[in-house]
Amino acid sequence: MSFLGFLDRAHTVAPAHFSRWLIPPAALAVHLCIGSIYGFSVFNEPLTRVLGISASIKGQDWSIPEVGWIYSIALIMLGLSAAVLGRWVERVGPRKTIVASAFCFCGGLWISALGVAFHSITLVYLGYGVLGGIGLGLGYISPVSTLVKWFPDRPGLATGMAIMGFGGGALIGAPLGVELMAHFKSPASVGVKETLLVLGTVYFAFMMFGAFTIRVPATGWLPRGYVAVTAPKKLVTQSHVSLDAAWKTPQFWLLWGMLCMNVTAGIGILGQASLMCQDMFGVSAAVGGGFAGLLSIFNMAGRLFWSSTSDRTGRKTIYSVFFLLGALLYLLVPFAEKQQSVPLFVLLTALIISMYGGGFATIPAYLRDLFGSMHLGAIHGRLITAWSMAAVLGPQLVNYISTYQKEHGVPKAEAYNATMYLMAGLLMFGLCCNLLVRPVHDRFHHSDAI
Amino acid sequence: MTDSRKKTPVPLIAAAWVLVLIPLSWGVMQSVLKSLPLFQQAGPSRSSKG
Repeated sequence: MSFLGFLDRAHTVAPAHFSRWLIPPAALAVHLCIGSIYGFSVFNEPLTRVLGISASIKGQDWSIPEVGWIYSIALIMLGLSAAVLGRWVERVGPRKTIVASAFCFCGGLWISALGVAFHSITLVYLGYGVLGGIGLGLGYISPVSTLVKWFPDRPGLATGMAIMGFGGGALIGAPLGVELMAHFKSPASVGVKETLLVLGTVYFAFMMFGAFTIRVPATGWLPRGYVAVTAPKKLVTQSHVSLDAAWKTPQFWLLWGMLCMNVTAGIGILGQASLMCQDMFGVSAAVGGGFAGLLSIFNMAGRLFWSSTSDRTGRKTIYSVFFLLGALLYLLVPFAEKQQSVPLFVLLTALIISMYGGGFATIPAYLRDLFGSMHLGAIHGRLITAWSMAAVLGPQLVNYISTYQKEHGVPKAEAYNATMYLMAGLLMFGLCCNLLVRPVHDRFHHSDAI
Repeated sequence: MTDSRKKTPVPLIAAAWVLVLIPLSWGVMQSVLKSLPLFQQAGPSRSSKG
């Protein structure tokens, strides 16, 4: 469509005077909006009272399991859309992708508001779940691959800055959602549909800022003073691997396994943080909620810290730290419970979650090292399917094992110990995958310039 | 090609950062405030269990 030509990659090439430091806030603006998915749970309970307003009407109002599917569908669609549309994202460039993402994600919120107004769960599934999920996938990968191209000297810092926003999205989206629902609440409404409309509009404005600020570097652009290869690193290639070739390398699948294990272990804790804290230490639900909020801060901070650190240590080393230190920390959680030490428990879980976030942020830089930056968005998109898999696997494992333990007479406080040992085992599997990573064979490379 | 001498105005870069850091800081502050009871409760919980 020629009238949308101004959104094309060719029209987003940065002029010579353009500062690359405008790109991180553009990427952050997009990720902070779509990252609000992590805070979607604040809508769960109010969505079960859409008809009853003050209390849920059994048989007429939606149930928690029905509402829970909205989040799950969105995450599944995130993985699928990133995997399927990654090639398109690389072809059309970041501006068109972010605009498409904004229309999908914010349109999904608006359609969901309509679904709430008509009390149609199908419309909410289609809106926030399917359409919103596609927006998530598009908005997730495009700013990341663009930033990597702007920061060839610090790819870890670049991916950390973008993906930090996704972790931070919940920190804004959840309290903002609560505030807006309280503002719009009336005897005739729980305030959800109005909140979804307002959030959709605010996010759209923010994402447009991101779309029209973002640029791609001109062909051959390099940061001042940067020399591409000083001392070649074993795992870092200066060539490029196409999506079709990358898909066939063992390295791709090793990284897939690593991401899946790291996310499965972290998401299991993150999803159950509040309940776990209550069961282990007998704290109130409000305190448990505060603990979950605290973990979100470490989830966000870990993305920037670990990923930028990986520029100095190398990706393989940092992932080995995630898996080894992570496994050790998981093994110490039952000890913290036995000692009834809340500060130790908070310290252990905060570190675990920081490495969970760090795993997300470092993986695109690892991909860039192995496969080059030319097809990074498309390859990263395919790899994100590991996240979708883990998003189902992690919470299920924690739920199933802890419930099984409780049903078999294990005290509530100790019901999570077996899960912690299992998570440590998963991380050891991830470590094996990481240790097996070798440079991609030359036969997979093509050497076209960026 | 490398960066030319003419640069993007620094106030423009600063404004872009401020635009994203303000909501992010607000979110971080909200979470910190929400988590304070965790540490207020941590003392009594530990001492009562010896």
